[in-house]
Amino acid sequence: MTRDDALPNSLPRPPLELTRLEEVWETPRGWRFFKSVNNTNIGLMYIGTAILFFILAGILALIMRVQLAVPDNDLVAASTYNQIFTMHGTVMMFLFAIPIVEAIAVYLLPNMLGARDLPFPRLSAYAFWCYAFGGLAFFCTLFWGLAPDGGWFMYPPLTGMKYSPGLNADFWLLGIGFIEISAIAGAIELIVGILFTRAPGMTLRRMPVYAWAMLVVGVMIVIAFPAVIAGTALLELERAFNMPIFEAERGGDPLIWQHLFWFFGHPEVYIIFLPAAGMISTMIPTIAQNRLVGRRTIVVALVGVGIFSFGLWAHHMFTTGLGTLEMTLISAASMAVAIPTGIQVFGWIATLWSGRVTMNAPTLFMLGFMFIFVLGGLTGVMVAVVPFDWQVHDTYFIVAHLHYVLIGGMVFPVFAAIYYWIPLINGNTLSEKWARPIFWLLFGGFNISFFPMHVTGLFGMPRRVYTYSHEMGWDWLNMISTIGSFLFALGILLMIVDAVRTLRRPTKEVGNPWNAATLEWLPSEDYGNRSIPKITSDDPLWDQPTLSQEVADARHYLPNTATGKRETIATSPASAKPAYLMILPGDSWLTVLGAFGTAGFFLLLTVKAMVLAFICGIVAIGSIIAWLWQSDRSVPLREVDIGGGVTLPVGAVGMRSHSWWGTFIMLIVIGLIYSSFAYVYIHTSMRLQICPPPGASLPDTLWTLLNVGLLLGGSLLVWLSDRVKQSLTPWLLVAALVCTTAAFGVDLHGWRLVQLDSTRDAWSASIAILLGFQGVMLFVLLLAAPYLCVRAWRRLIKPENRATRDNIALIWHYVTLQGIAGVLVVRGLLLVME
Amino acid sequence: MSDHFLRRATGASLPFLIWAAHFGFCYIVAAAQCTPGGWRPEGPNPYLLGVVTLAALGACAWIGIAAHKRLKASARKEFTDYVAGIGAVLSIIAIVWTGIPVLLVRGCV
Repeated sequence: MTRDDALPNSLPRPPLELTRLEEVWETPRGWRFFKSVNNTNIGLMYIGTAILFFILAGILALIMRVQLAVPDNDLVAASTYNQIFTMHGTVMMFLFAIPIVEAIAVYLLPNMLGARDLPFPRLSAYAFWCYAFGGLAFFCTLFWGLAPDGGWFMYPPLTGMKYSPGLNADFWLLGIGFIEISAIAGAIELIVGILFTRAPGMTLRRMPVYAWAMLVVGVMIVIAFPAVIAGTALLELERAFNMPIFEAERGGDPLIWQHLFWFFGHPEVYIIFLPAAGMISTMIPTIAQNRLVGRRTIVVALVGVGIFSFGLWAHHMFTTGLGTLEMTLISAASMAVAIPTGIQVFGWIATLWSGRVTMNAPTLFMLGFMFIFVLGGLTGVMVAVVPFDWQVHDTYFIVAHLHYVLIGGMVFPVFAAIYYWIPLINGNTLSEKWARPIFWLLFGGFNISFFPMHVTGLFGMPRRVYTYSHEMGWDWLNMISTIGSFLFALGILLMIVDAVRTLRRPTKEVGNPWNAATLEWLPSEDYGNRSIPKITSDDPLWDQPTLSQEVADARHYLPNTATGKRETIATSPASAKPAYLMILPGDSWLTVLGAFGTAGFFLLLTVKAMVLAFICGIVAIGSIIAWLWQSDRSVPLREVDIGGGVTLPVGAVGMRSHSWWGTFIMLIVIGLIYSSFAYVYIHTSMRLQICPPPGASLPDTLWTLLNVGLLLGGSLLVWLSDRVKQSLTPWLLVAALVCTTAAFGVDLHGWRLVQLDSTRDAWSASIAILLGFQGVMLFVLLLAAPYLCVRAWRRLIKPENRATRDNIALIWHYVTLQGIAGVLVVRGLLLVME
Repeated sequence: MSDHFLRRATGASLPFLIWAAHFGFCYIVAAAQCTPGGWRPEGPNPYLLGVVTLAALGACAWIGIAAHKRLKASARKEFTDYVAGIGAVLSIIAIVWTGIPVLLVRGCV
């Protein structure tokens, strides 16, 4: 049998097959483009917006450098400078670095995985618009003098009400807090997409290293971000409702913020480095025309870095008075993470060494990355040594180190990626002639700017000072740094000009300009590839040389739209065997409206425009419900033939379904937010000599038992509602809702009887927060249960369309579990402490 | 989840999870025993932490050796075995590294 005979589909194809496929996936034109939810389009808008924030934050950096160029400068006042450095760090980290790595992933991954799209395109669109609306509004606070001014990590007590009474800190807490929710939405899309929508045959072993990196990063976001979301919620609660979580006088502890922030903040460095590492591992084999040396080991190293990075958070806290053993443990972990990072670097060097390297623009930027990042890594090992860190903490040495890590480890790889992947947009490459001066301006400018800062820091210049006196002897070092920063900015400007020129050129066929091995270089349109490829190797375009033509000729899987809707093949997570046909939602304004409402709710809440905020909140909830209402619907076909004798069911239920996994991951996030609150309770309890503190006590056990009984009753009724006649289902759900609501009421009543006062002390506040979060989850059920009842009454729940039912049941059981876990933590800790 | 993804993923990443559990346990014990309430004023218990460190090392070594044997025995190399094997080596290094302070550091301050 020839290879031709072994292909899943034969020629000729039915006459209207391609037309139908194009119609279903067509990107809206004109202003309607903005309702597009296709991840490739969303990815482009996402990348563009992230670059806009990079430029804005870069301008802020230049203002800072001008201010520091000479001693005793009065270009900007101290208060303005505080806002500028806070916004520079915040915007670079939260509105550029994290978004752009997710943006590049949602743009590249559908094609790199051989999928028509990722599983939740509307979620991606919602996440993007939340970020765009929220981010731009947040940036504009700078023009009204309302921008946050407590540094990008916003340490209390400086950012508490006492020392920061204005709205500045609130904008950070509410603005950034909800933008992080969009990062989590992106992570859910990436994890489920990578696990469920890989092309048939693309097993975990064959999966591109970039996809591996993004899988690890997605999991890291899910684990790390809840801590900062919890932290921002706690600080806002302290500021708005006088709940003294971080106030030492009332039993709180400012270190709680630092633990929560850095439990997110340190892994975040790797959250933005690992995607860059994944891109490098994808680009290097192409430019060396050589398979990645130690590919499997590099994948394991990625996983190792991801996990080890969670043991490093407190190395930002060596000067806060942590115990000696805790500090040395963290110090040791900080050095241990260098080993898997080193494995990757040596793998890249070995690949280059044994290949035939073409010295083009992506190569230059990758070499620049290696040089700068390795230097940043080395100073990282230096500051992991506790006594050295004590000397350089909060000096310009740290500013130099973090920029070497972040610009070297993330910005240079992103620039390499832009040079490498920009032809995917319209077939044109950036100018190789311009690339060299641009690279040297960026590389030289960067090193001229930041290398002297190591010395400035060792000479004792603290970070974040708005000026300094001539006697300190820092003048010439600062002047050199300022000159370097402008050279760097010139490089960026030239790169933007070149990118605009390139994108304005007429579209031409993309082809495979670098002779790459990965699937994003297959011929692609709005619908992705004409047919979904069958993969048989690690480097498909090298090992399957006729693949491009076969895919374009519709010889592989699913060359049509079988159901008349947008769809892709869902494969099994490990072995990538075709599992079911995944129906994908179409374009919609609801995602834009929902995001607008969400951003409006949080930002208007900040300025205490309560009525408008709640109107926006209702718009957001209404839009999301309307968008969900359109999903989980029947299609005329139960099975489809995708070619090659493979017949797949349409959709899946339970754990086999992508939507179940999306919900499950979301619940992990919620569970980790709750765990962060539980940690606050444990931390405040263990700081007490007598616990509960004087004036506070636990409610009678009777109320607790009643609470647990009602929670279990609610879950039992939900379980039963799936096992009775459908006409009875809504009534059982109503009864379950009554039980769960009563459980919360009983719990609340028990605490009211013992006069729990959340403003009296941190211990009471931590209990109130656990209680309040249970209330938030009850609110979710109060929305979800009637929604499910209406769907049941409208007979939209069927054996093949039960994702809504399964997902709401999952949330319900989680709420029960959370309530019981809360009881166990609150009462169990006191038992242990006795 | 027809291909036992969760089981395979957990098995492959088990050495790293053991490192995380060991690290978390040591950190929490050190923090808890040095609380203002003074659960153990003389400092974290080195014997408890030492035994846990040895147990973690033993578990990782066992996983690594088992993965190595499976890779040698089977003609069809399982990727998850490879991940578990390399992961065990990395985790052993990291546990030894984080275990050194347990041996050397005494007291709370």
